Order: sequence, then structure tokens, then C-alpha cells
Amino acid sequence: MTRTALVMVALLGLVGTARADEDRFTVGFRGGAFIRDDRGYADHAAVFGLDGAGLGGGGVLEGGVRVAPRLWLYASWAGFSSLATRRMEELRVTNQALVAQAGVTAFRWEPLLAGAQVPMALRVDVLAGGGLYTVRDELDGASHDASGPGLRAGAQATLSWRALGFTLAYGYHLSRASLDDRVGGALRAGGNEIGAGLSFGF
Amino acid sequence: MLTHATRSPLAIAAVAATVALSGAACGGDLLGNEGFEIDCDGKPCDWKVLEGAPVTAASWHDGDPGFDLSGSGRVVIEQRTAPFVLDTRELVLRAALVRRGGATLRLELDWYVAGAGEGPTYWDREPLLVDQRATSVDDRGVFELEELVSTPSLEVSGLALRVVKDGEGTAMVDEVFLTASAVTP
Repeated sequence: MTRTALVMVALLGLVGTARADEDRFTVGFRGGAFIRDDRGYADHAAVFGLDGAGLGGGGVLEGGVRVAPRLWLYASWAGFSSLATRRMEELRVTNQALVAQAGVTAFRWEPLLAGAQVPMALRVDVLAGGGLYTVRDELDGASHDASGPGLRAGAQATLSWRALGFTLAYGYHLSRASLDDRVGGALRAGGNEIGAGLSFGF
Repeated sequence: MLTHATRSPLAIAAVAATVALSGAACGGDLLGNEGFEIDCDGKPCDWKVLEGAPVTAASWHDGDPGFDLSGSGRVVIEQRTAPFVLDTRELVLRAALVRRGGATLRLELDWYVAGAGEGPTYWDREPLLVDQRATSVDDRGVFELEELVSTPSLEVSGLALRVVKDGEGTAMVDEVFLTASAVTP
């Protein structure tokens, strides 16, 4: 099953065709939210008056290079943070991911206007890869952190006009790096990432 | 990695005093040091251990102090607060609790009116015990208790709140509040 999927992806990447003026490189920034993989930690924090540890805000910096007609390689850094306050205390939780991914352009549409090509394109890529994940919390000077490997799978759609593109992205991060609280809860470095931002292709 | 830094008790006390001055009658909290953060020589200010040997320790997180009542046997902690003026008989008692194993938890509220004796404090002036009311905790796990409680009359001006743990198991208490409810008498 996995081997078949890999072969399909490889074929899609190698057999597809690319226009001569298609982008070779892309860089982008997305802002968004990260719904953390909560195993009780965020619920426990809320019980003790520190609500919101399960959801972080932040962004993703991403760069990609097209290595075959439909096949891209990406490197990205993602960072998300949340702050829960109670009287004078602040619970800050941050998670970061440094990820390398392979992406396949599953769909590309370039409209024609009166028979002429316009410098606009809609592209949908599916991506998967892995990297290093960290998660850290800090409450009134007491902090914990954890790091470990993880996987990311996701999809992103980019609507571009010449070099400038607008991207909507979703990614699921799976990592066992985990913060454990004192009453049996855990917060993992993985979760669901959604974001929107700008990209530049050249 | 674990690090810990101390907080300024003075700064916390200033915030607590500001909150207290807002007045219970205006919907403020009747209790002090609700989160056990204000430290008096290594013990949480305003709270007294009546029975057992609870540990003032981290609660759900190393950076969040609370009372750990775990272990076997009876443990009782108490806070006395007075004088106050109430404009409602209905109050909401809230607490962040952990209860596991065979531990039982009970919150007892002794209501007083001012006494006619002599002394520097409300409690020295022999206040009269008007009523003893209690609520048992049925939930298990890590949860927020929220109970509607009532005072015997609007004349009460003193309260002794006790957290009583019996049996053997894990029990923690933190974030204890007693505030006026939205319900009018």
C-alpha cells in the first residue's frame, strides 16, 4: 500500500510536464493557528484558571525548489505560541518545527482569457515530510521542554498573479515530543496547523 | 529542563489587596490568597493546617503552587475571613480540585456574626457561630468545583472555610474562590 502510494507520487512528479515559465523556486510566509495535540494538559490548565494552552498563534516560513516537473522539495520553520493569564501569572506555551518535505503538484490551472494566457495560476500541492519538533512551557519561572522527531502531511493551494501568490495551507503534525503535567496530562508538539499567507515564485 | 524563580510576595499582596478592597458586596471574592501564591515564611498566607500534614507543593504544574492533601488519613486546612458585608445570601464556591483513589473531599463553611467581646481582631471579640454548612465533592479526576452555597442570613460577617480530606488517595486543592452569585435573594 505504502509502496504503491510512493510510486504514484514519483510518477506524478516525473511524468508531468512543466511550462518553460513555471516557477522554479518559491518562498513564502503564512500566519495561522496551531491546534495542539492535547492529552489533558490544556484541560488541566483551564481547570486551574489558565485557559487557552491548546491553541497557538504563529507562522510558517517556507522555501521550496522544483526538482522535477511536478515535484518540489520544501524546507520550513514553524513557530506557534500561546499565552494564558491568571492574576499575575502567565502560562506561555510555544512549539516549533523544522521540517523538510517533498511536495507534488496535484493540480494546476492556468486560465485563458480570449484565447490568451493570463499571468495567473492556481496550484494545489500535497506535501509530506519530517523533521525536528520542540514544545516548551513556562509558568512563573518554572519551565519544561521536550523535543523529538515528527512527521508532517498536508496540502496547500496557491493562487498566484505573476510572482506573487496567496496560499491557504493545512498540515497535520505528528510528534511524540510531549510536555507532561503533574496530574497525568500531556501536551504534544504535534497538532493541526492552518494558515494563510503570501508566497513569491521565481 | 526545569528551572524555578521566586515571585515577589509584595507584588502579589498588592494585587490581592486591590481585589479585596473592591468589596464582597460588589461581587468580589470573600477569600484571600485563593491560589496559595502569597508566601508567609514558607507557608501560604491566610491558610492554616488544622489536622494532618499537607504539603504546600506544586499543583498541576511546577510553577503553580497548591495544597497537596494526598496520602492516608485526615487532613484539614482552614481559612478564616472577616469582617465582610454581604448584599446577597447566595454565593458561588469555586475550587480547582484533584481527587483520585479512595480520597474524599468535603468543604465546610462556618458562618459567624460579630461578637461583643474585647480584642484587637474580629476573632478575638468572640464571634457567634450562626450555622455550619458543608458540601461534599462527588466528582473525580481533575476538575473545577462550582457549587452554589448560601449564608444563613445577611447579618453574617465572618467565615471559617475548611477543606477536609479523608481516606487514602490523591487530593489537591487550588484556586479557591467564594464570590457573590448572579442570583438575587
